[in-house]
Amino acid sequence: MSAVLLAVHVLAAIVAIGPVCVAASMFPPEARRALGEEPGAAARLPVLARICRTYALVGVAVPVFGLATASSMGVLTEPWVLVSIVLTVAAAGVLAGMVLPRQRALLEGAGPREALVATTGRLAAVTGVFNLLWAVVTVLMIVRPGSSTGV
Amino acid sequence: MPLRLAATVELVSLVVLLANLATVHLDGVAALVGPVHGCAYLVAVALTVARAGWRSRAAALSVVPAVGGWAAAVALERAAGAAG
Repeated sequence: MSAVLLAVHVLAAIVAIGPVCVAASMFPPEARRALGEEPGAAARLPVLARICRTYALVGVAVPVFGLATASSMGVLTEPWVLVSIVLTVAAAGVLAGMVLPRQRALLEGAGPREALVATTGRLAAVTGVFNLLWAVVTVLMIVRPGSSTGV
Repeated sequence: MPLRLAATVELVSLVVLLANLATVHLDGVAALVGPVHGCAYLVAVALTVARAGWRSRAAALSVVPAVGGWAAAVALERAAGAAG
């Protein structure tokens, strides 16, 4: 059963988190181009935001099946799992509390242009933090420090 | 529509879990359907909050176990019907 749960967990991580990382990273530069009146960029922005929103929702499966896998493997209390849980909660908070609301604010485009340009900078920063958190969790999943089954 | 789907999965998966518990009690069923139920529950809450906000009545309904997703979907549809 652990193998099935782990397969779903890894598949969900690749299919859901990958698109969010890519689309969220592409959003700030596209938003800057759209603010620079580049035709086409404004049309691409809603698609990128939609990918982020939709796959963030699919991404719920990653921690849920991750917890199930860890519980099934009996590793739920190992330090690398606990640290990963904390980082995942932080990443989810950054995505739901900072990345997605700022994307929405830029999509609505209300307010002076300078403020919107500044928002693209802040959005790029928090998106980088989000991606970094996931990169650290992925490395923890592979290296598993403190575990007897690490590579 | 996505909220209705999540709400249905939330309810059906719980019924499957409880039926399994009461009858054959297979560990495999619990291990697989359990996370599916957890996902559906969280997705239903997230969809409701995304549409109506944290402080809405629909959001409060959505966190109710088992039938929360359905209650939130009905509340949101009624609100949309009343507004439209």
